[in-house]
Amino acid sequence: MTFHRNRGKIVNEKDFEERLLGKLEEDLAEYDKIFLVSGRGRILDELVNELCGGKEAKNQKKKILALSSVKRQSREEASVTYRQITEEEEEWLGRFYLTYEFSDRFLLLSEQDSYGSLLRLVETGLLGMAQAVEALLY
Amino acid sequence: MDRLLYEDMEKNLDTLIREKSIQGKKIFLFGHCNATEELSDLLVRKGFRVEGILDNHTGKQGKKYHGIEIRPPKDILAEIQEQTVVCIAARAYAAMVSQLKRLGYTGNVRKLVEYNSFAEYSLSRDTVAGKRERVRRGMAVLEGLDRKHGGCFKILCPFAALGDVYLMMSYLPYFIAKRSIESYVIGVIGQSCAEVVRLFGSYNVEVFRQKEMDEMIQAVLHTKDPAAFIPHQDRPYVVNLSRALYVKQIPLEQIYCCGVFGLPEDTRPFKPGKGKGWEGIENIRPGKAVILSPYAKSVTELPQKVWEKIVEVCIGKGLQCFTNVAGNEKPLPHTLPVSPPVSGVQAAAERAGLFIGLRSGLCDVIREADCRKVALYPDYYYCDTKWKAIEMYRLAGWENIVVKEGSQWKTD
Repeated sequence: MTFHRNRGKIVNEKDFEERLLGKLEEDLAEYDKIFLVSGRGRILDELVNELCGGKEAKNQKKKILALSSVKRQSREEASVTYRQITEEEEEWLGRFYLTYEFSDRFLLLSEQDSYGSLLRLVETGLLGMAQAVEALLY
Repeated sequence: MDRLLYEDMEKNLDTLIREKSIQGKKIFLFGHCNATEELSDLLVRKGFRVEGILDNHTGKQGKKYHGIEIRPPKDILAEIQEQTVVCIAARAYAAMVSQLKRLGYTGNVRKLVEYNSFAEYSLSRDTVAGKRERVRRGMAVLEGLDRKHGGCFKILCPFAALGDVYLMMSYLPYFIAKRSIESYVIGVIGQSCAEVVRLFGSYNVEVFRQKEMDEMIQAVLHTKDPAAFIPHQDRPYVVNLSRALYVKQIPLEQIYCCGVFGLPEDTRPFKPGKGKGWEGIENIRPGKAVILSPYAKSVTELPQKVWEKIVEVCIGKGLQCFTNVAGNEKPLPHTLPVSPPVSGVQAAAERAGLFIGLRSGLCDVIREADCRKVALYPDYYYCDTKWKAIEMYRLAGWENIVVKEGSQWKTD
């Protein structure tokens, strides 16, 4: 039996997974789109800032949730709900998403280098950051 | 639309008809795109009437496809819902179902096409277990590849499209240099794609079946394999590049150059070698023939009468007419069949002097051919974007022509 340290408590893997799957189901029922932000990076951080507080996010009508282990200052005017999760939860959710596509309303944002991404279009100047957010929120 | 997907759609529609799921109901389609247009045409051919095509895009609403109006999704609420059915051939099935549910639609929604072996929109324990087993199978294939090639870097092309592989190869050398990769193997699906790779040089190539490739790629994602790269603009699902097309028109080649490989916009693509000769070339009169290419796996075919008119014009000009065919494809009337390998099509086109083809990956393979080249585009939108196919796939140095209903052919 494998154990995780979750929010300071030691829990077994099965309970950990059951809890996260249950929460994921609830979130998918409540939100139109969920972004999991995995890791840090200059461009990624700019994207998350724009996603959580930029004009595109404010003008859109969808209910959006952003998940990350990074602490962010919440802003009253933010139209995207930002929820901080633990590093273990972020790792588990990311790995789970990379097992199969369980929803087309869940997207993983990361500065990975195994495949192409919108962030590369931003880095190469073909897309502005606001445009990248608009594309993600579409 | 990909031929295999079309056959899947037709089979699923026949099942709905057999089950009497759509008879006596008002049929709506959701998501205006090429696949939806094909479904609409198929329904009409089978004697059904399509009441409307629902689409969120305000720019498309009010327009018509073959007399069928494109309407906002909320319009369906004005109908007696039990007397309607919504059929979906577009990719975003789950999103559409969810939207209809949130609108309050209580009628029947049916999926006509299964696009995606990576996706199953369920969190049930059985689904999770099945998908984890799929990852394990993929890891076994990956391990086999690593053993065979001494653990070298892996470039895995997830889709069996000649054009995608061509674009990948055009920019791959820059990527290899940037990452300082010393040895690598290129995985493709099918021998034709392997031939496209070999047009660019003597590369280490492995050929897989689609299912193997899908599972291997899933394993790469799950294990975050640092010695692998997946060079494609929208596969698998983690690649969000195509979303850029919702906000900006970016030609497909640029998406590869900048979005897949992270190269500057002005990067010049590598060009393939001339390819090999082909023994059938002796039958082609030099400079006095035309190679016609009306068939493609992933593109809507043009009506037969379009090609018949083109053949008529070419014969009138004294040209020897050939149809490029593969498998069970039939040559166009009054033409001779030719089947050069991928590596021999350029030689055949240059010998003939004129190539006229449905814009497909084969056009990419011969894009540098030294002859007159005409690419024909059906008049359709690229996926569910507002960009026409010609805006995405236009070829420099070619005559790029959109074929609309009522197009007239000039004789020059």
